[in-house]
Amino acid sequence: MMQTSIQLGAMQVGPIEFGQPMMLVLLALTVPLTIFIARKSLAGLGKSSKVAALVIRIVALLLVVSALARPSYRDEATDVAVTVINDVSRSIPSSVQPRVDSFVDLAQEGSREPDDRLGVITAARHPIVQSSPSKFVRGIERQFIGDTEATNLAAALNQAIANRPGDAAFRILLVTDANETEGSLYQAAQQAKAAGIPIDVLPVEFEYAEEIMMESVQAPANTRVGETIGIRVVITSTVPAVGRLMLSRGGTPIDLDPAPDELGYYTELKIGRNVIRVPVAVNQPGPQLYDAVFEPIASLDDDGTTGTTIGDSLRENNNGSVITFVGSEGLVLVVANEPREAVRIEDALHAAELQTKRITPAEFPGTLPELASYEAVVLLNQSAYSFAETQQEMMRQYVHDTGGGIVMIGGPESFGAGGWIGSPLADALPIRLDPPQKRQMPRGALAIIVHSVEIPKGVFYGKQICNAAVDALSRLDLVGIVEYQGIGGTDWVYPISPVGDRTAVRRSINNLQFGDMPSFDPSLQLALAGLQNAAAGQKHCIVISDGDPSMSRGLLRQFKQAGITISTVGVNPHSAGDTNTLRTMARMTGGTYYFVNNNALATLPQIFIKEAQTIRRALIWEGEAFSPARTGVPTETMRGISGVPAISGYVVAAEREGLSLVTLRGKEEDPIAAQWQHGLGKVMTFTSDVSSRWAPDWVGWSGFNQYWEQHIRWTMRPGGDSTLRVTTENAGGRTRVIVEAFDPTGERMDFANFKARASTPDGVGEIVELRQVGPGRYEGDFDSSKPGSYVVNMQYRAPGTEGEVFEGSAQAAVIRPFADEYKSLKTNLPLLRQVASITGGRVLSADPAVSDLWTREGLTMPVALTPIWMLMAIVGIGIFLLDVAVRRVRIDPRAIVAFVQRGAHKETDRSMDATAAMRAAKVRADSRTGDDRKTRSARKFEADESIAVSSEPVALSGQEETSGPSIGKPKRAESVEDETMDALSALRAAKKRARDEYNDHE
Amino acid sequence: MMIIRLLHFDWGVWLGSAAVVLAGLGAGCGEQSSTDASGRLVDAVVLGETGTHPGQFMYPRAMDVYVDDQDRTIAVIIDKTARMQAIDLADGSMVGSVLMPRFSNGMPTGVTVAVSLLDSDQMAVYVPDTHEHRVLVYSLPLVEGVDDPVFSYGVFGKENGEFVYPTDVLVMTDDAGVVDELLISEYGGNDRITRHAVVRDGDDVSLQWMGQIGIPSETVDGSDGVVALSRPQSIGVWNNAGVQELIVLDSSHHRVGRLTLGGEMDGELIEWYSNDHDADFAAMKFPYGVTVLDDGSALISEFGGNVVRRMDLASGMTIEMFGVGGRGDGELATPWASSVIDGKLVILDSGNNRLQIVGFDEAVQMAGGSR
Repeated sequence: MMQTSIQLGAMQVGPIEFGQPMMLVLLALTVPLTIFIARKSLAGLGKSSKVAALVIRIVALLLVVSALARPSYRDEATDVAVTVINDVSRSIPSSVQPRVDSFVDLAQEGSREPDDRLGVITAARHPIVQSSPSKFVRGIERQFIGDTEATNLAAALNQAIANRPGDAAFRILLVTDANETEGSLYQAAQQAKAAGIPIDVLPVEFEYAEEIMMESVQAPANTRVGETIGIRVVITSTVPAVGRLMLSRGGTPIDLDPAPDELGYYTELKIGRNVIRVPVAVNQPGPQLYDAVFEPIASLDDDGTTGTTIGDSLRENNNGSVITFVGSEGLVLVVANEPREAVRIEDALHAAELQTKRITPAEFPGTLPELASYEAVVLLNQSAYSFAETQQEMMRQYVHDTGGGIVMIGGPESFGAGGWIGSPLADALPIRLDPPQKRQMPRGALAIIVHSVEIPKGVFYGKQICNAAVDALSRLDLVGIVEYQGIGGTDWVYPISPVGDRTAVRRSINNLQFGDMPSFDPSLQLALAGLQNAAAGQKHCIVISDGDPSMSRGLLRQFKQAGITISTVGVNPHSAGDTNTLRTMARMTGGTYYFVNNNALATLPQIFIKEAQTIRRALIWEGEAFSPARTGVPTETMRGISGVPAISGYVVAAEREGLSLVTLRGKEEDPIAAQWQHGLGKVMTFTSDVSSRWAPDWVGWSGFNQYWEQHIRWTMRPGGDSTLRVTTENAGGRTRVIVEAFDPTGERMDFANFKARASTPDGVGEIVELRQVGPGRYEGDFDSSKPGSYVVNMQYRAPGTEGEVFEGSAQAAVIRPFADEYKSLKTNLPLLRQVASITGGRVLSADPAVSDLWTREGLTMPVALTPIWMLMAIVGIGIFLLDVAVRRVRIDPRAIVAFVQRGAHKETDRSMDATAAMRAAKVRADSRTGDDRKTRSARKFEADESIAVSSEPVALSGQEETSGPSIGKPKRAESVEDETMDALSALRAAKKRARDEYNDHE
Repeated sequence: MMIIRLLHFDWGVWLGSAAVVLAGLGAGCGEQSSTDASGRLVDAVVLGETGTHPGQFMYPRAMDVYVDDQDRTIAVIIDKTARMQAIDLADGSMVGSVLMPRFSNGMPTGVTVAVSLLDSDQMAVYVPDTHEHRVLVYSLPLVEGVDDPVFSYGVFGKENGEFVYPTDVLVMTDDAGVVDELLISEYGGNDRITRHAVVRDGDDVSLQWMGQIGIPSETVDGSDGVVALSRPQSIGVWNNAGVQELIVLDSSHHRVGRLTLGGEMDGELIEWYSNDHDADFAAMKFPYGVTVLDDGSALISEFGGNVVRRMDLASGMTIEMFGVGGRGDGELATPWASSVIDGKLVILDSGNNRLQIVGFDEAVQMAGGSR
């Protein structure tokens, strides 16, 4: 049945849609006009001719006018695709997932058509497409689901919308408890609504019947040694219960109740919120981290007796932590590999009455609050790979956000030579670790060969590794990347060229395919040739592979001869043979073999930093001792120091633009000592060392103590005599900071100007606006929704009553021990209902039999429109020509038949087979040479007697033949008399005949 | 006065002419080549897509085809999820599957459908379980859930009867159609083709090592020996006018070898067709899969060349090339295998996770491994 519908601006007639239907109004005007005109103009025709001509004319008109109305052919889809968004976050009990699987398995047996499609996306912190919508997918599948400690349903919804097929109608099935911790499902649903996609929801309904959750642990932000502080533990319980509260300080348990033998504090919990107060004596300076854990023992009956063991479903939310800063003066952290390296510096600091704590890099603090308790950190000849990436980032935050100071002192393992180029801390240093561009330095060249990394997220990790390696190179070093690309074969994806600003090489890394190369040889050959031609001192190659491609030892010998080392990284090698291949490659060329399996992936970037470092010894200058030149800049740090002793080596770096100050310079104006303020904190760098290796004269120099005391004191976080009492309160996803400020005389301190910054677990940091809300009382708040540690650093300047200025700082730490994922104890049904209702979806019941997943109801089938106006216009014009032809040209069917036949005969002539052609040739030859030649040539102009002159009408041109082709046969002549008639007279005669015949008919 | 004569339309004549024209066009289509001027496959039927569900593939690396007892043409395909699927070539649906019993080291890269070595009336699938260093045999049809093979042979090693990475199995039968020998190619530092006689003792069937053909070599110059192999990825047998020859793809050397098989001169080199043997066509790059046809030609799937080459085995000259590298219609990415069945060329387009099927000379069939 033809369907006709008109929407605003478009009209649909059957499978044709008109984009500008108003043009069709022209038909109402032109058709009657045409008929009117035709009555006169076609008056000379016979009746049937007239009707035919009129019909043709109207059809032509219809087509041309329709072409103006922008017609398109509609191809409407019939399939439905459903993408299931499966919430796999930790808030949903794991027992629920099998129920979700069987629901989808059973539900598809209902209305699913053979070509209907099913897709699956899992939602947790990140959405991951498990299957794109496909008719082959019959059930839910979960492979890699990523981090489950957060729920971002909005991202999953956006992913589903982005992944929808263009040629099928689309529905989304959201299976979730709707407890989102990131993103806004509601906003994403609005986008689905705008795209016309209905979202059906299947609420995962659960409620933790028995659940105990530690909401918070609170303590004063700062205190002094000798005081006793009260630690408040807030616990919410859904059942009356008894249990044991345990508290530890810095990992050491505190005996809260001396009476029983066990550690811990026996506690009874009632339904709802319980606050437990524990007094703890403080006896050590520095930051004190308190961890509280509640161990439920049993439920508590109404009569006060203990009942059965309770099934606390989420153990993850039974703990909490808090940090208190215990005041101390000037504690400096010194990081050195060996004690003797630090002795001289420590002596200088002790002489200046500063306390120090010396550690090795392995003992470096793991959390920012811990690090923030030191006023300054001195790094002695430390390389970047001694610290995890997170620790390097923490050091940057320590300076920028918590106002700490860093003094980085050089040595052969430090600065650019120690892999710090590209590290997070590099941004905080007052020098650039890349050598200056003008400097003619021996360069290093690195070729990286990548092979497929066959582990989950292998490509992601592979790219991380390459980025890490490139980041660790200096801008003048050369780098190249070779890979086997499935279609393109083995080639440089980044030909050996200077690292530069890294944008080009990063782009190439991003496009890596990690193809499965059958043989190492082509890649190694390319790398060898590339490195041999590279103008570099140190040349190195890194191969990352599972080791199964074949390899030729001959090539390795060439590497050896060229002095190029190869280090190999075996990622999940298939067998001992593969391990052997990679090990051989490294051993024969003097490189290192690294074995990496799934669990050790995190170490890969570290490996590459270390590897890249091998080509960067070039950054070290060593030579005849000289005294670094003091720059004329007057600074607090160089007060009273007119000159410094000689040094015989340093790590080359470049001056940084901006507010950095260089105080000592080396060869070619290289910065030796430099300093600057970075964020709230200060950083000083010294690219030579403080040992007998490069600076033997410094060790015995009389100004040594003064020089280092002044520099280290300058970087230290400012103290102050004023008293700040800082407390923090959690309010939803935000933390409120309350400061009560007293000046040294104990009076409330008003009109203080606070600069406060909160460092956040993601490393971004946030400015905290502290405003005065009462006498000596200041408040502000910041976002603390992510789990982890937050440190708020506050620096203030306040006017005193006597015109003096008070300055100082204070810190507070906030810890959110577990993710919000564990806070929700039941399904957020209202949000799910809302999502279904705004998008036109349904709230499904858990019964798959009645949940028609592939229902067509409420769906708009996608339509593909193919414009056909051109076709219509051409056909219309063609018919218009026919209209002319009908009126102007007389067509005789018999003549056409004759024409067709003649044409066919001609065709036969042309397509005559080889034998016939040869026969014909023979006849022709005979006719030229044979005895009857004269006869035949005479007959050529004679009429065939068997053909009589036709009385039938003939066409205006053309001839009739009554028999098939006969080579050499004389042509039929019109008549005996016309034998010599020329072409013109023949035409004339034919025309006459035609006219006569026409008149006869009329 | 206008001279007008309305057409007396003879529909019969016009429809007849139209029919002739259309028939002509139709005939033209029928004779059309299955590739266009650039080598791209024309009007290829595409089966399968990326994914882990039945009928979907994740980097399929092995394929063979056969006609089952219901007269369906079936492709047996093994992909990197360690699944062996039987795919109905009529519609791409999965009609049977098996999960490799062990795949912690890696997955198979070859598969052969031939007469079962346990029962000469049955067909079986021979799987060189490459990264698990053994050869498995499964009965046909494949049954979902029945993952254990009916026969397993080989352990890791370089000695007689041991394998590093087996890549292909060639099944030889005697005049009565009973399997009497298996030839197994392997790589991984022990690149060779080993021969194993089938020994029968009552119902017990075992394999006995009979020797090896070829030795591993890093170079193509023959300094390691004449049959110097680097990753023989696929082998086939060619009945050259009554004399059998072993066809071997020496993949990392980019060449095709003809070796003697049987008789006094077993495993002797007849000729290497190097990658630039036929200057009129692109050089051979990583030939991975060979299928010998009964007209003396062979299909060679080139992993590196992204093409399937039909080669005349007698001369080594290229007859035709199917496909060009790419992801689009009619293009191939790293094909590992191809076969001919019922006038169709079936190509395992591994890098694109699909099968592409185009028309092929109906008179030509795959050659079997029978004596």
